[in-house]
Amino acid sequence: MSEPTTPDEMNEQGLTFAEFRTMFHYAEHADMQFKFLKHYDDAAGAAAIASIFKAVGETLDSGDVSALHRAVQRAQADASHIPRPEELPTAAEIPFAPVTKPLADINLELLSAGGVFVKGDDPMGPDGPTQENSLGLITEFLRGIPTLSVIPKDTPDTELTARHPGYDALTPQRDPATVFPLSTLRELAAEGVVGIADHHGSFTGATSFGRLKKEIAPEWAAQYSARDVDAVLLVAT
Amino acid sequence: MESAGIPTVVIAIEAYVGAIEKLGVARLLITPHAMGRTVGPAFHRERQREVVTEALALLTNATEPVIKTMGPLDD
Repeated sequence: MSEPTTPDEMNEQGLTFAEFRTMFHYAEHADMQFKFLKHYDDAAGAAAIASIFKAVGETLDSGDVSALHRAVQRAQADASHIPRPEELPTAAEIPFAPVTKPLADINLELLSAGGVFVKGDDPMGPDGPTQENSLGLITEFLRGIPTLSVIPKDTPDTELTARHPGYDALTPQRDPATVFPLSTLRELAAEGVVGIADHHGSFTGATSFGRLKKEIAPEWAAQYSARDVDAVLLVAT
Repeated sequence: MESAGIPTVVIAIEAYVGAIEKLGVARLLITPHAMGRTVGPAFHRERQREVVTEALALLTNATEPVIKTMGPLDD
């Protein structure tokens, strides 16, 4: 019997807890906040949901969302945690370039994997997919070549939006600074803390890591060198 | 980028630490935040500024590859 995918089919066949857990992972009720439930077994999944429900109660009473944020973050981290490699690269194996100027004098660029772009300047064209539709294109994204969106430094957060098939980009649509802290950097630059470049960038991190590391990153590094960029602040998503 | 002489600092959430460590980045700041909120919760300007400031400190102060974890959100 095939897996039920619609509420009617589920009602007819009965829904197991395992099916419930997986329905948030690019399925009927796809939700990037809770797709992690697929990676738990039933017992751990039930415990994770119970901990979130408990935090909901606490939040309703206290009005402080910290407990809820912690519960969701803990459940995501425990489910999604890729085991730390047994043999990490040694310090000698990791390329390291020192900062050679005072922070206030550097030309810093922000580069976010959050899929942020300026409204009306969609890197996938004027008919680019919506956030909701992008979830159905996850395979295409993972096979594709990431496109760099160029974002002028004075772009207000209200002119930014985001799309990403790997996490819920509704969050940066509401507040881009969650994954693209350009407004925060502008604030620090205005105070003389750091120097920032005229343009910044973002791409969709749901892409081929191998291609990104071997082909794309060296191209971008050459472009940074050509623009006299002194340092890059990277935000992973 | 470090190989090209460009210093970098990466901000990443705890869930992705394994994958990022495997890549071998020069400076890594781990945040205990939920997915989609790497720098901080939506509209939590104080936390977002705290994280960016910490990343910039890591960028300038590190003299060798380093990994640092931010404290809990409500600290």
